[in-house]
Amino acid sequence: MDALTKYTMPTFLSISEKRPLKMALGACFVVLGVLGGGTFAHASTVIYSEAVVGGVVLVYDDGLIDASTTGADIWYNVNTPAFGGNNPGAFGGYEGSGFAFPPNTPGTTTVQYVPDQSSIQYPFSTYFCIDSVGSYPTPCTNWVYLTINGTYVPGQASNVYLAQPTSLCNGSTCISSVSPSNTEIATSTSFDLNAMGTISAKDALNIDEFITDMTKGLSIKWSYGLVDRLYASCPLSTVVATSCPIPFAGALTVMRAPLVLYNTGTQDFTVSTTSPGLSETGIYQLNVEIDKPTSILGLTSVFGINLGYTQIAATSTTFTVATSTAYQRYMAFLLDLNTSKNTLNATTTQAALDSCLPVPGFFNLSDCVTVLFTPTPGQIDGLIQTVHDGILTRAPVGYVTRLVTIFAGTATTTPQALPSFTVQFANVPQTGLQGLTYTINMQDMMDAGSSTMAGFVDPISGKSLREITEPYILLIIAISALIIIFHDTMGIPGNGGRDSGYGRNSGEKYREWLYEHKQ
Amino acid sequence: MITNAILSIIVNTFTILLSWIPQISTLPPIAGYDIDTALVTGMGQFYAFTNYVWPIRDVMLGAGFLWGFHLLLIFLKVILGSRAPSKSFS
Repeated sequence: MDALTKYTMPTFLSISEKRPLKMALGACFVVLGVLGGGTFAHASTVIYSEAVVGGVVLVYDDGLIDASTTGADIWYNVNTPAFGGNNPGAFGGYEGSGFAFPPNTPGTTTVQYVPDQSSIQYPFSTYFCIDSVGSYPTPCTNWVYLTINGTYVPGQASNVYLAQPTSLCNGSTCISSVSPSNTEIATSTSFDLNAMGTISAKDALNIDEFITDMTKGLSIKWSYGLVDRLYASCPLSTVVATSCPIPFAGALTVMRAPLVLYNTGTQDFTVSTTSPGLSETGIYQLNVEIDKPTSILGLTSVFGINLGYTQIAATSTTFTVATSTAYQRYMAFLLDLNTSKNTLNATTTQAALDSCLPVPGFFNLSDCVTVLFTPTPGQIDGLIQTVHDGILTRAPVGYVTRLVTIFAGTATTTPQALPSFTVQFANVPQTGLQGLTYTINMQDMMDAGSSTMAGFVDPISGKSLREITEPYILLIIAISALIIIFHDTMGIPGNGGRDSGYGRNSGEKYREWLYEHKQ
Repeated sequence: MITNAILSIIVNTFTILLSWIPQISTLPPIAGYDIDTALVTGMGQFYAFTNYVWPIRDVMLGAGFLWGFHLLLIFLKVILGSRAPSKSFS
């Protein structure tokens, strides 16, 4: 009701004047809803709310439309909140139409919610407009309409409204929903990739507003690949083959789009991009993550080389690509792909062996060479483990390996506590402490100290003392190490110290001097 | 696949050839003192300490980097022998 009040009530009315107006308006909705043949209600949090005189439709962030009818068919036809002019449907948004609620039958249906960047870019402060024939007079910029038995529900601009989305993740950075998710898309048809969520003020810190350069601002990364092939082991006559998927490691397709910030505080976002169509049927895994440029002391690139991305939130889901052709099903059957392949590694793109098959649609020279000659991460791990277990742990090298394991801190997984010390006072009667024993527990002392240190937090960025100071310490150490290496190899700065021999240094100069004086 | 097969053959050959050599899981005691347990406990306590005094880990990271550099120099010396421009390891 707050949202309704915010966008519908004239601001010049006092509270005492608004209250009866609210009650009257609510009563009108109920009466007109019943008399007009349709009422819609939903109890959960409203993100978008639209109401039309003669019927009320509420569309929620979960894409649900609740409806009940009295004596008439009700069709919904929810369309896009459009911006930038009288052009409904120009942008992505709600898409769904044609579902009918039979007369006198309450029902619930789900429309596909396709969030669009424009839906978050501007506050929804304008009203929907609709008239009795479904047109949308200027300056109406957003629209939704409801038809009953093929007739547009008459409505007025002031009776249709849209509320600003509330925070999706309770103020913390997260991805609340992605698409496509748990849905089916057709082969070889481009589809929308979407991500919706919240960026916290902490993660928005130090990132410019309105920036679309992904090397300097936030971005959304979608990566998806085929994880289960359909039809492979199914009979050729099987049309709906979702019951017989097989594991398959497909190559990952990666798409990225900028996540534009519009203010410096916590804010919701919706980012979309379009993916090319997928030709192969099966179940795809979709990984979505929010990335920010990796930054060292505020630098996102060194000598023009970007430092890459740091993931700050991620989620994953699956979707299905279906409607394969008979040829694809035949080829899958022919190739007998009913063998387990590597499971999809979300961070590694591994080509499939069938890219070497001299069959049109499968052969890919670069993938084939890659899969033939490049070991997978799993194979490399296995080799290293074999070398470790079979060679490096044998005597006498095994003693060195054991020492390295101990010094690396991986010899045991049991956490060690700091030792405690016991002090016994000498037997000197004059002190009054003779014979007393004190135990100093270092672990307790460190715990107390660290909790105190953890309390020192920058009030603006929320960063701890360590998060603030450690980059500077690492920088000093890195510069020191480089100076030492430079000195060892080049002999400068200074001409003394350790001599690695790579370059002109004191020893070499001395040998040259000896050589010259031998002549 | 091919690279992995070649490397696997080499590694497994060495593994079979060396299989008669005893496997080392702990350091041997020195004069009856269990040096392995002592070192494991000591390093565990040291890592516990560095959890609190974290700059030590940064310093160790830098020291490890330098050790790696010097190990690389030694490796080059071994590989290049007299052709190495180094005099310090000869």
